[in-house]
Amino acid sequence: MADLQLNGITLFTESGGTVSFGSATPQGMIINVTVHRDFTRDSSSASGGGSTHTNWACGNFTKQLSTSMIHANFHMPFVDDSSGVCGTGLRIDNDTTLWRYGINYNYHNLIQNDSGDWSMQAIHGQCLWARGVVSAGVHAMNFGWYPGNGSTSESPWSRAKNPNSSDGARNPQHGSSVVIMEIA
Amino acid sequence: MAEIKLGNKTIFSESGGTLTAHNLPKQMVINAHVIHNNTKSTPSVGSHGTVMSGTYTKKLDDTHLYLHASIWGVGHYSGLCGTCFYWYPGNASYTSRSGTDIIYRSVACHYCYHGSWTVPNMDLLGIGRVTNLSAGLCTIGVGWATNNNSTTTKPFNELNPNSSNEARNQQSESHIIIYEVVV
Repeated sequence: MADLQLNGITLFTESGGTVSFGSATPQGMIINVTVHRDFTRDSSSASGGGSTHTNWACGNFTKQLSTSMIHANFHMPFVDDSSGVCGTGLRIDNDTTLWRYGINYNYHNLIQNDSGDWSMQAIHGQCLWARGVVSAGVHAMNFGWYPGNGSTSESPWSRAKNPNSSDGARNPQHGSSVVIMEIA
Repeated sequence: MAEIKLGNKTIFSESGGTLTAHNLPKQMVINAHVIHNNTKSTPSVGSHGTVMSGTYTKKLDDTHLYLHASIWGVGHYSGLCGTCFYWYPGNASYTSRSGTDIIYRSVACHYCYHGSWTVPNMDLLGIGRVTNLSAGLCTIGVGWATNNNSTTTKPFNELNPNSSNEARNQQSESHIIIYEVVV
């Protein structure tokens, strides 16, 4: 166990051979990055929505500090847009106060199926949970949608997310990603 | 006040209990900052203009800023209009800047106009780089500047759509994340 300190303020701490940031890490430093990916085509009915709706349980991340903020960068391709809008967002845990609606898609309903080639769309964007909003410890990142009018029968797509060759012979398997950054 | 130095370079300093990073190794991100906007607003038309912006305090002279914008608008307006990142030293408002003031721009943002449906959520996206700002307070934003000086342009009707545009919408949010990287 050892600490690297300035005037008694811990910058780095070591325990059992593992070096970690101290609780007073300089603001603005990226102290933890977690990436979750899903490269499985899913054509099951996506119709749904609601205050705790989850379409993709992306995975967990461990927040190191209680005072830091969380920033997420998200990308999910799909084919055949369905609802014009539906309140797509990221939600931490099942806490309805932790929805963030920085991810959307640009609905156009144009050239959906051109001789068996389904044009791709994407839900994408960024979400931010400000400093101190999320406690330290293990949390789950979830993708879903929560329509503002309470509808429970909406969906971004009607055919599939993470398209592959069954949506156009030239397609390899596409996938979704979320990059979760903890910023002191 | 205390410092960790290597040679004459300060790596970390402490003042009043607050730690600050300084001259970290090249290519390291020494600061990340998010400009966040979750308020619906209506950009004004013009030959140039602003969609959203914020201030940032650049830590060092010898760093670059990398920008990543994910901005949501609603309502088709101009088919295209020269969407760009912009930046300038200080925190004066965009509209207070006169023609002689320098506003730096990089045409590294785009949106997809398709004219289908009246209220889709339209993505204005980009990745930019800023190499010419000194340390200190600056303003960073996303806006537009037309190539032909057309005065009736803007990328979309409104920023950050919500349920007043379409009942199923939640309040949309837009972001520009800034990474300050040692060079």
